[in-house]
Amino acid sequence: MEDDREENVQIVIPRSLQNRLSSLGTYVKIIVDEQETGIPKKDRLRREELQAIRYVVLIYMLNRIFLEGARTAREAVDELALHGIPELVIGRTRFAGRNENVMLGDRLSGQLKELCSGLGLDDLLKERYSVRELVLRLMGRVRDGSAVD
Amino acid sequence: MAAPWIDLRTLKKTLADFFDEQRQPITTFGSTVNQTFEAFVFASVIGWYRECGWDVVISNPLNEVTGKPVFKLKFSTRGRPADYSHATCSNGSVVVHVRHQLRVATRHHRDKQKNKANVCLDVAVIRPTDVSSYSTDTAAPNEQLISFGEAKHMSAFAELVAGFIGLVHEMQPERLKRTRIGSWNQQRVDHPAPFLYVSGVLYFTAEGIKETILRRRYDIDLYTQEDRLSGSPSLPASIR
Repeated sequence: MEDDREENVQIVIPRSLQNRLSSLGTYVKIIVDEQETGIPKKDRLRREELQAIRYVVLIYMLNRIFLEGARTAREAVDELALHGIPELVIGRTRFAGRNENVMLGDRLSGQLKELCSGLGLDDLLKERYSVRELVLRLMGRVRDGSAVD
Repeated sequence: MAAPWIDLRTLKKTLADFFDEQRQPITTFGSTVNQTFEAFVFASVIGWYRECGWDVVISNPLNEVTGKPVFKLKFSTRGRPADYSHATCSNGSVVVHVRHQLRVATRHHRDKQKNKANVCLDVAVIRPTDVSSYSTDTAAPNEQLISFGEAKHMSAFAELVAGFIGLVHEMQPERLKRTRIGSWNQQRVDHPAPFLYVSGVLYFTAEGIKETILRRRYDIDLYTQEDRLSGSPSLPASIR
């Protein structure tokens, strides 16, 4: 059931974002396995603990994708504006200045952070970690049972 | 049972709620983020030339309806290159064109061969080339190619970086010799080296390939969200 639910969550992620996220769960597992080599099975992460780490990493990377999407949109329109190009149009979506489309990634990041505010992930989402650093940090939290932050 | 450090059930519900509530904005974001990233990489290349003191002029095709110039990038491998915008960068007598998704012949292509060997490059820096007669399938000659970049909206794993090295081998194999030796870092760079720009991060498998690129002194660059192309005229690239 847990896996089914995980699949359900992933299904609604737009395909273009899935490209960025599809291998993430596997990558997290590889890092965890690497860290747990030689550790007795009883001392390894439980299934639900691994799942929780995967979800936190997913939230972290989603937030990064939103923020990076907004940054690249801003920088693209700013550079083009320097050369007299007032807008970038992709399909029917118009990017110009700081319009809604340019800022959409920032807005989604804000919404995600707001929803996650009760989970104790606020400080974590402000920092910049590699996936490996993040997983190691989260594994440490699981082991000592403390809050993520 | 939830792990003690975080409530798994709440965590999953939060994610599910977010995807439900923000489905439409996420779809809009997701449907344009790849192209936005490509536009960003194109803009970063012209930004690199601008910051290096080159003059940059963007030429646009005419809108079929209004007859007015319109900025249009080529977000597809199909299409006549003349129907899309490009940048002309000039520094004294040196002039280059920066084009998006231009088809360029590989180094070993020969006109007499049965099937054409060419590749659409996400960003191509070429010597001034009149493409007005080019069809969607016409490739610019390889000798016109100065440099190029590939934009991937994803994090990089080993296979992606290895694939890029293969592309460089097809397009500019001389870049894969021990070029960056001695005083290379102090030399002035006239053009960006061929690069792979990923919007995400380098997974450690990709980091491993990057280490070997460094050791082999290849003249190529890998850029990520942390190591960026534009913003430094001296191109202190991530793998140098």
